[in-house]
Amino acid sequence: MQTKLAITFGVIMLALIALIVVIYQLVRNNSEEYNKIVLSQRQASYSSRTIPFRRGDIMDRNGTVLATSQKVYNLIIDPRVIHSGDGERYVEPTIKALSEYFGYDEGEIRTLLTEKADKSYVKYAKELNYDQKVGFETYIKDKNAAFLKSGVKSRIRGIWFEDEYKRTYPYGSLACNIIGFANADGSNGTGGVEQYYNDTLVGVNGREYGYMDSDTKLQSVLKQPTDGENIVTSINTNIQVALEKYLNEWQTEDIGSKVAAAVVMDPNTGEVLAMGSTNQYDLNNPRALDESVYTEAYLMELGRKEAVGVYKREHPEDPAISPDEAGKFFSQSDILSYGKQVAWNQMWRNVMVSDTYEPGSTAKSITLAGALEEKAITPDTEFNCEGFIELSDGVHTWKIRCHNHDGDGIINAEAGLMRSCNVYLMDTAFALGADKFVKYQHLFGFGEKTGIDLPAEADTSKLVYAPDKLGKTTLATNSFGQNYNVTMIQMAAAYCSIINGGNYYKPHVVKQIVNSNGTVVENIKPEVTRVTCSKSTSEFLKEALYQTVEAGTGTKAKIQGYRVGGKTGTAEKIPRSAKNYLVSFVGFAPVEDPQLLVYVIVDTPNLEGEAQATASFAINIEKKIMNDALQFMNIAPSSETDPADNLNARFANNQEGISSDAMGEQATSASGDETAGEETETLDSGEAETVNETLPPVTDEYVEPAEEGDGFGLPDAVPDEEEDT
Amino acid sequence: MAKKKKIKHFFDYSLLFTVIFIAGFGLIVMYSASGYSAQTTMQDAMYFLKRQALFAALGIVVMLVVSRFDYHLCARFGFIFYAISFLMQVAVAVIGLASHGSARWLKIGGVTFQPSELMKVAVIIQLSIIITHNGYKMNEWKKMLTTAAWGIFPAVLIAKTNLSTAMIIVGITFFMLWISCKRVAPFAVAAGITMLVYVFAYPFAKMLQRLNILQEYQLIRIFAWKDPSSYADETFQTLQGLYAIGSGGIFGKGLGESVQKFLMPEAQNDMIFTIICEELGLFGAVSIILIYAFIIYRLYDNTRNARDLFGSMLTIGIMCHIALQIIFNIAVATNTIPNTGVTLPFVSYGGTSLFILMAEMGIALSVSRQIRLET
Repeated sequence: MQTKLAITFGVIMLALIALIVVIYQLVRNNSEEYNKIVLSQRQASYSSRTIPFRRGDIMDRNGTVLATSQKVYNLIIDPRVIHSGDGERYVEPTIKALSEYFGYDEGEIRTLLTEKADKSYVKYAKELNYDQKVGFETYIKDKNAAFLKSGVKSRIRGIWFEDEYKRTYPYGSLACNIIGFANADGSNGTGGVEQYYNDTLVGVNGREYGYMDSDTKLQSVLKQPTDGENIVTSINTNIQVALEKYLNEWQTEDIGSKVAAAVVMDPNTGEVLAMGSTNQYDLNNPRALDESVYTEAYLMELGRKEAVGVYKREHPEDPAISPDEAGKFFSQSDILSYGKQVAWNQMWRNVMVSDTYEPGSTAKSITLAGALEEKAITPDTEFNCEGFIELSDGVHTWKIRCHNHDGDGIINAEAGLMRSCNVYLMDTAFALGADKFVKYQHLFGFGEKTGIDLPAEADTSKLVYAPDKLGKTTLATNSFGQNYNVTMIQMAAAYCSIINGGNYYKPHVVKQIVNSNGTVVENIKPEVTRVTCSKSTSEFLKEALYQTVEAGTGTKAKIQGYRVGGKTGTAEKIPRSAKNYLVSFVGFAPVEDPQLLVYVIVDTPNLEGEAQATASFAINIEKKIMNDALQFMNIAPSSETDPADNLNARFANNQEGISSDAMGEQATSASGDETAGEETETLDSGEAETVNETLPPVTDEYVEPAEEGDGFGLPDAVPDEEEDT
Repeated sequence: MAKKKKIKHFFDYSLLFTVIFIAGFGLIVMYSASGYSAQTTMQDAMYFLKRQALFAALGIVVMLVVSRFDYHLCARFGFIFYAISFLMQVAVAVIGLASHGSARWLKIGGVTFQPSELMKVAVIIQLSIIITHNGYKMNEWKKMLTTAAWGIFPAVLIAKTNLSTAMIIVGITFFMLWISCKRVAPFAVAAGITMLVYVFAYPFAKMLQRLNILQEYQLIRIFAWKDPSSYADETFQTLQGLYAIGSGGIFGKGLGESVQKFLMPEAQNDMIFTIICEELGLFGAVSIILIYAFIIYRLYDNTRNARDLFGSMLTIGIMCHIALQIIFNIAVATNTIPNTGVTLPFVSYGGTSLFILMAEMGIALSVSRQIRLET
């Protein structure tokens, strides 16, 4: 027994010694090679394990997803691994698997494998969906198991999938100016909420790594990505759809214009419910240019102009070059790419926030509000309108006319607004004085940034006069909205404050920020930045604006069943000699408790001269948007509505409610009919041929065609000529 | 009158302290190997360490307590223990059948453990009882075979789900019989056959595959063992283990500097030896093998000097158990034998395994306590 025990012990010891020898040989023979493998494996695992974050969604106020990120998978081929098998035994099965499962071209993969044999990362296919990924992985597993079972050493290897998120916009171009678009990896946004709230939407990439720091402490290892936060906007998708539909109808089926735009706001919160212009682009494909507009020749022309600027920036010392010389300094492709950039920026431009214009008569409410607040006038103050006011600044004499060349007679404030009487407003402004006039311009946000949460808001601080620069003539024209510039959002926000009792809310498009788990991170509350006017002034103006729609220049904005208020605007554009007009209408409803404000501008309708100056172009669009919006918001009518206006009836015919229909056509034709032969409002100095004898009522605001006349209407200037800021 | 000799009782302190030392060393290495996966899966790098330390502390207490008892108590409760272990093993097999898998674990009172771990101890005790009982009759064929059956039968039951434990039980049975009887030939033949199977494992496995005897995963392990790089997907762990050993070099990368532990799944379990090699190099590997060799030597020495046959047999069983597990584990790590799931005694992560090993060492210490020193 003792011997046997000794033998047992001996055997055990021998086995241990044998193992030590095995380890020794492993270390001696393979140390270097294995070290390399270990390092390369570590490198590979270190660099390739970035786990992308998910960019937050953008939703409308009801949770409808407007922008979302879907997980997609890129198919990565690792030719090094595929070639690593003895006797190339991974190559054929792998090629076969790819062609069999995905239908890829065998020859193409074969060439790729030979050409990039030393590469480890070849992105072969992009944006595969989850089913494809999992399906192929199962396929590989099954095939390899079959190979194993049949004793064949062939294997499918060297293919893996990389996670990525793809940004999609389910509604395409809808609300493009509000949403904007994100770049491919979701780290940046251009335009709209995507840009302004980029920091909120982006998360932090996760990473899988492991290493020892200098203290040989184990460093944290798998860092899960932090997903971006979701944004709930104040947009009402239904209203947005309607808004864009009616703008497009105007643009494509009606007269059309250089640009038309509309903003819908909730006057009690400053929330933007919808906003859009005829400048639309597909968010899913933001760089696609409409080739019928942006021809190569046009792009080259834009590019040459841009190249001049680029040259000037790069060579500040040298004399400027002309666009024709651009070809000498820049290559064709450079010029084309400059041209494309200019074209993109044109296309992406948010007209409502970035573009400025002279507002025209819609600004009269602000002039009146200021005068009433300062008690410069009372609602009963009467001025006599003789059709014009003559002003002299010592050099020029300006004869600034009213719409009604014969004059509106002796009228009070309400009538002045209803009839959009320039003379009444000029007299009001004189009574108010330049200092106070400018004070109220700023109080109502003109010359200030509204602070809306969208990028590229125009800086209008130089586009209104400073009090000391505001002469009598410009004060006169300013009083009815000429010779200074505003943005749409400024005007809409100012009107919100007038009709909600005097609270100026900061306009905004984002209501709420929600984290990826659905927990509310931040509620963006309506923010009153200042008080613009008193309740009584607000009440007076609401009533006056209601009368404007009931019996003044805005009668076409009436919607049966609702009490609608509003104000027309017809602004003559610079240069005055071009006789181009920007017509607009701002409407709100219901007058007794305003819930909606719709502001529409139509810039340079596709007509000649004074025919452009027809406010009803804007009114018609506004009315259709307002009608739909009232119903979408479930705002109860105060009396019987017109069944023809009922949305549900229309939806019965067309679920999407996008294509044109009976209602649309009817409204569209109306605008054509009613322009002719009614009361006139002339901003222009041209001698009106016909002046209607019967004074009241006026039902539209438009400019009668005039010959090139001898007198002057408006000075051809705003504080800063440069409109684009 | 002859002066009454004072009987001095021996206690194998060197064994005790070596075991405590290696358990402590095991905790350090285990922490290094498991920190990463503990952080990723449990958000606590110390997760495995804490659990293992708890079991180690409990184990040491149990070892000291058991060493105080008379090991002859084992003889009294041996059969009951064996029967309970066997029933639990059957229970596991039934559960395994019910859940379509190869279940190894049993959960009793919130503690999950492998009954096969208990089975090993039960076989050691039971065989010691029978061999002591049979005495010289062990040389008879009949007695030898019936004794062997006590070990072989549970081994067959376990083999279905846990081949490595079955092999260890068979190994323990083999060595205990070999030492207890005078015959040589049958054992030599058995050893020879084992060597042949080892050498010709590959064609043998092919044959078994055709006969559909072994489980698929076990066969693949055998194929992969002979040709690791062809089965890169299946032998990921083995290959990474070899890279770890090879890249460690002579003196290793330093404690805690392992790179492979980030790649290797469950580095703290069966493959912990490769992490030791990577971090401490050939030097560390040899050192730890020498420590194990010392433990085995102490057990061997105690066996020779044990007061009675029962004590000897118990110690032999324990020695074989520990030795086989060390050899199997290191052999797997170096891809000398196919991959089997054998833990490295006192070092690998696993609470019940450590606990039971400590209890076994307690029995061995109890045997050593009764060695009489003549002075």
